[in-house]
Amino acid sequence: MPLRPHLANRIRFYNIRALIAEVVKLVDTLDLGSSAARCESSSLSFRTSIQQQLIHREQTMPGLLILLVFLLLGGVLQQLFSLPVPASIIGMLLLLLALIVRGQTPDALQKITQTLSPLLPLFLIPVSVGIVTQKHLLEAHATELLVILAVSIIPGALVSAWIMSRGKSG
Amino acid sequence: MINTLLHTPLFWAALTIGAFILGQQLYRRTGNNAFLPPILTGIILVVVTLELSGVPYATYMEGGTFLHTMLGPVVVMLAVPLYQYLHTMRKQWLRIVLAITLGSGTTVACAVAMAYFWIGNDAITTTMYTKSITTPVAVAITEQVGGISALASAFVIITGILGALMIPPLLRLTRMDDPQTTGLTLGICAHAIGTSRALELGPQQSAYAAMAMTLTATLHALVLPWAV
Repeated sequence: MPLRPHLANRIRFYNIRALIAEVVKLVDTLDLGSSAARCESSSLSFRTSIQQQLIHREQTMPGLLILLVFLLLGGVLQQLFSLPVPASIIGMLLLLLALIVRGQTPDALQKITQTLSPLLPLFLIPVSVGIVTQKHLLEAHATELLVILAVSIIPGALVSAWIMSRGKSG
Repeated sequence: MINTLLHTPLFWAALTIGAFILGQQLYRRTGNNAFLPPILTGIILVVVTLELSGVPYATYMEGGTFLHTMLGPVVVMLAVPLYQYLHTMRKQWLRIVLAITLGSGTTVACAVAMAYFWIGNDAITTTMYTKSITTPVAVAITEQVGGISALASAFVIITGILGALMIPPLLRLTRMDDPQTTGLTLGICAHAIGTSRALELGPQQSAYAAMAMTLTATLHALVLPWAV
């Protein structure tokens, strides 16, 4: 059975965690506190910075907080300028902009993405179950809807495939 | 006793999580079959329970809203993969942008036109606009443009399953089945379910599918609220 990608990620992630735990143990026994020159703050030793990293990796809350802050920002902007775009989309674009400016993805965001991505479908079930309130529409138009959804895929797929493959194989 | 349970919000939240776990198990047992996404199994199990017990959707949603709230931060989170894809698409960005804009535009235009002339129900026509976007974004947009979120979710999932089924043979038939094209087309026309189908075809296909899905969702999220 093939390994699911997020499962593979998780296994890799556990390995990193085990590695860091090993390093922390090593640092504990050797006491490398004096090699703190590379840290900006003199009070922050190499050991504590690794320990902080370890805590950082184990927590999903900092990443969730970042997401919520950007979601709130999106909501404020939406209200302020009465934009027709949903708050979450504005939040996403702001976060994308922040990532482009920063030039890399922070660990906290990486972690929350790994945690939440596999759960995404779960969060969609409640709204999807609302289909029970639309039974009359579905019963009246089931065949038409199925045909429309199936047929409309074909021209779209052909257009995108044609553009993407044009002049490439030649 | 059972009646009290059926009217406890937490029961419905727990049932939804349980149904999703069963869906995941079924998906794994069937070798990650793209046509049995955990969300579909989860929805069917919850809908059947609601129908059998006769509990109204509003009562269910008192519990479901706990999970539903998480959709906001999850949509914001899509910026993380999007940022990574911006790097990979740098080389052929014009081709990718054109394929996504025109391809997704064509499929949506066809669907909306057919719904308008054939069914003529305003709610269905409006909801049709969001059929090619990944579900979390589709739901957010539908609320904004005045469609029905639950219907949007159903359209998106059905589109995904049909697309995953039809696109690979269609592209083989028309000899446009190189890995990048197949992946991109699956992402544009069949979003997340197409992406999980692309995962079975190969790593390049799945990378392009995921990228196309995210870019299509972003594009539509920005354009649709002004256009509809």
